[in-house]
Amino acid sequence: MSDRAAGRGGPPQTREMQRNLIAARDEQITRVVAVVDALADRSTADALIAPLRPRLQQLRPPRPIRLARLLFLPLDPLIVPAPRWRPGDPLVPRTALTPLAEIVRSAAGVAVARVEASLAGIVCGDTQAVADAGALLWPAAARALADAAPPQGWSESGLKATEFAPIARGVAGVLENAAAVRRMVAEARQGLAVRPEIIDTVLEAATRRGPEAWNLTFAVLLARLPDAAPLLQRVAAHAARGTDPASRARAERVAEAVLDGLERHGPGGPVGDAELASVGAEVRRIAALLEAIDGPGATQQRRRRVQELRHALDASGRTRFEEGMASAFVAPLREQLEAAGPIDVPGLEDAARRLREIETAGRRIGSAKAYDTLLRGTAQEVMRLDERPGLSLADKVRMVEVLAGPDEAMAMLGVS
Amino acid sequence: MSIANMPLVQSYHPTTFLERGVAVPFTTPLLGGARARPAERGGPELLVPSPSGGRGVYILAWSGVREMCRPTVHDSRLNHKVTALASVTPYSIRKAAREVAAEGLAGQEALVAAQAGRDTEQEETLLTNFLLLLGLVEQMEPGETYGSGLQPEEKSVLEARAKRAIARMAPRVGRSPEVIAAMLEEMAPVFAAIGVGRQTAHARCTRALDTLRRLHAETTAWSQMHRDESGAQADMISRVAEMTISCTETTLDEAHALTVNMAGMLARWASEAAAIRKLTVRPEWLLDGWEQISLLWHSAETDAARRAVLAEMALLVPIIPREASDWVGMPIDMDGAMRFRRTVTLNEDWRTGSAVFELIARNEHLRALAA
Repeated sequence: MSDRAAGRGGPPQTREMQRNLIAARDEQITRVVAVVDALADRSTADALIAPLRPRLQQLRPPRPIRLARLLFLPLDPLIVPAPRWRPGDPLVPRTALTPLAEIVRSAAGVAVARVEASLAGIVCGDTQAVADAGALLWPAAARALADAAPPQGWSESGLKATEFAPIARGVAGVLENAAAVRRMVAEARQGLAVRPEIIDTVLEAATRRGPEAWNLTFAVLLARLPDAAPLLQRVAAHAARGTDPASRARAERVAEAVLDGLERHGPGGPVGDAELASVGAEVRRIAALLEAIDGPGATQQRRRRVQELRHALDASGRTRFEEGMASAFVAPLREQLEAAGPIDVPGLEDAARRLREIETAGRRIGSAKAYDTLLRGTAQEVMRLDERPGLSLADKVRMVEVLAGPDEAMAMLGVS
Repeated sequence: MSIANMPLVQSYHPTTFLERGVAVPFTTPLLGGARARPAERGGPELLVPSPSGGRGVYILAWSGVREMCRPTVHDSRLNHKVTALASVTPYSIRKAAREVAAEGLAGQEALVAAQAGRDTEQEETLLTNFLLLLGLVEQMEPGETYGSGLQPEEKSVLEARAKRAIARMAPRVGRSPEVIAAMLEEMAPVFAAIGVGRQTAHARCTRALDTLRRLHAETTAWSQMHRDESGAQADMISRVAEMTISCTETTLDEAHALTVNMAGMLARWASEAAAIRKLTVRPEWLLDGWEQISLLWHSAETDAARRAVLAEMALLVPIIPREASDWVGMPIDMDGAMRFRRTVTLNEDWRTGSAVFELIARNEHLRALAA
C-alpha cells in the first residue's frame, strides 16, 4: 500500500487497525513499535503506524536503529507523507524511501553488510555509534543513488517515473555531506560557533550534485541548525561576491518552502509534537530561523507570514509550557505528596529545568508575563509545602531556584 | 555596572600560587574557572575569566560578581564560606565546598557525594596516622612488617612495639611520649592528601595525578588527530598538563621523602612544622584546578561534546606561576605552552541563554564526581 493510498485512508481493515492503535495505551504502542521495528520488510507496517508518529515523538521509545532508518536519518526533517509532496519541493516523499533503500542495498552491498553488522544493539539515541555507522553508510549510499535508474516497483511508491531522478539526486547530495552536516549541527548544539568553511564545503559539494541536492541540503541545514543566521549570511555573501550567484534565489525558494512547512503545523502549533525536553530548543531554533529569513529585503508578504508564524510559535510554546508545568511538575509533585512516599526531587528539578528552557526561549518572542505568572505561582506553591522526610528545605530552595531564580530561593534562606 | 565597564586584567601572569588563587567550584556557568585569593585590603577576592572567552580575568568582589551574573544559591553560600576562611588554600576551599554541597544546595547527588567524601577523608586521615606510626615503629624496631589486615594477636604486638618506639623517640626530640603521639596526629591530615608508605598509590594527590596523566595522554592524542582549533586547544592543554605532571611528581617525591626518616621528621616537626606543611601542600597547589578540567573532558561522550568542552577547558587551564620554578629547581616555559591559547569562539547562548540550566545541572553533577 502506498503512502498516497494511506493518505486517503487505505483499506477498511487498515483504517480499523489504525483506529485501535490511536486508542491504545502508551505501553501498548511501545510494544507495537518494537514489533514493527523487528520486521524485515516494514513498508506495510510503517503505513499502519503512520498516524502514531506525533505520539511516538513524545513517547520516544528506545528504538533499535535499522539500516533504512540510519540511511535516511540525515533527511529526517524533510520526509513527508507522499500526498504533501510536490515536485521541486525541498522535501522527500516517504513512499520513495523503500525503493531508494533497495537500490543502496543492491549497489553498496559490501558497505551495507559492514554497517548492518555494526548496528547490532544500537538504538537511535546512541549518538556516537549512529554517527560512526552513518559515516560508513552515507557516502556509499550517495554514490549508489547519484546516477541510479528507477528500480522495478517504483510505481508502487505512487510517484511518477520522471520524479525518481531528481529525488535520488537530491537524497544523494544530502547523504554525501551527511557526516559533515551532522558534525556541524552537533557542534552548534553544544554552543560552538558554526565554522564558515564547513558551510562552504557542504554547500559547494551540494552545488556539484545539482539544484535538487543543494535545495535539500540547504533545507536540512535550516531545519537542524539551532541558529540559521550564519548559514544565510554565508549564502548571501557568496551571492554578493558572485561565487554562487544563483544561491540566493535558491535559498529564497527553500525558505518559502520551509515557511510552508511551518504553517502546516498540527493543532498544537509549530512545537505541538515535540518532546517536552526539546520544546525549548525547538522554540529557540524556529524563532532564530524566522528572524534570519525575515531580514532586510524581505517582502511584505514574507513579513506578514513570519509575524503570524511567530505568534503561532509563541502560543504553541506557551501552551506546551503550561501543559508541561501541569503534567511534568505540578501533578507528579501533588501525587507524590499525597502518596506520602519519597519525593523525586531530582526528577522534578529536571522537569523544572526543561520548563525554564521553554520559558527562556519563549519570552524572547512574547508572553513573558504569562511565563512569569505561572513560574512564580508554582514556586510559591513549593515554598508553602511543609518540610518532611524526603523533602528538605534545601530541596524546596532548589526547586524554587530553578522555577523562579536564585534571588527568590535565597529569600527562603533568609538571605537577600 | 556592566561587564564592559569592569576592570579586565589583560595580562595575567601570577608570580606565586597564592596570587594565582585557588579554584572555587562554583556551579554558575559564567563563574567557571573562577579563583579566590586573599585581597590586599583583607578578605578574599575573586578572579573570574573573561565571559567572552577572550584573554584576561576580572578581579571582583562578590558584589561585582552579582552585577556580572545571577549566581546560584549554592555559589552564594559557597562564597559566604570562602569569605569567612582564615586562609585560602586548596584544602580550605575543598572543605568549604564540601560543606555547602552537604547542605544539599548543589542537589541530592552532590549531597550524598559530599558526605561520602567527608567520610573518606576522615578514614584517610586515620589511616595516615596509623601509617606514620607504623613507619616510626618499623624504623625504630626494624623487623617484622605489617600488611593492611592485622590479626588480633598482631595488633597487640604492634601496639606494644608502637609504645616502645614512641618511648625511645621521645628523648631524642626532647618531648614526652604523649606529645610524640600528638605530633603524629597533627601530621596525619598534613600527609593524608599525598599518602604515606604503601598508601601513597591511593592518596588523593596520586589519584589526581593519575587522572591528569590520563587527560594528558588523551588530549595529546586528540591534538595529533585534529589539526583544527580543537586540536590547538588540546595541544595547549596537553603541554601545560605535562609541565604540571612533571612539577607534581618532583614535589610529591620530595614530600614523600620526608616520611622515609620518621625519626628525623619528628625531630624537625617540633621546630619546622610550618615548613613541612608547605612542602606537603605543593602538589595540591600544582594540581589545583585540573580536577574540573579532567571531569569536563571525561563527561563528554561525543566528538562534538569533546570539541565544546575543549573550548571550555582551554579557558580553565591553570597558569603555572614562576614560584613553581623555585619548587622544582628548573625553569618553566609557561609562555611557550600558553602561546597556543586562542580566543574561543562560542555562540551567545553559551553559559547565558537557555543552555544555562543544563550547564548548572552538569556542573552540579561534576561537583558530585569531585567531592
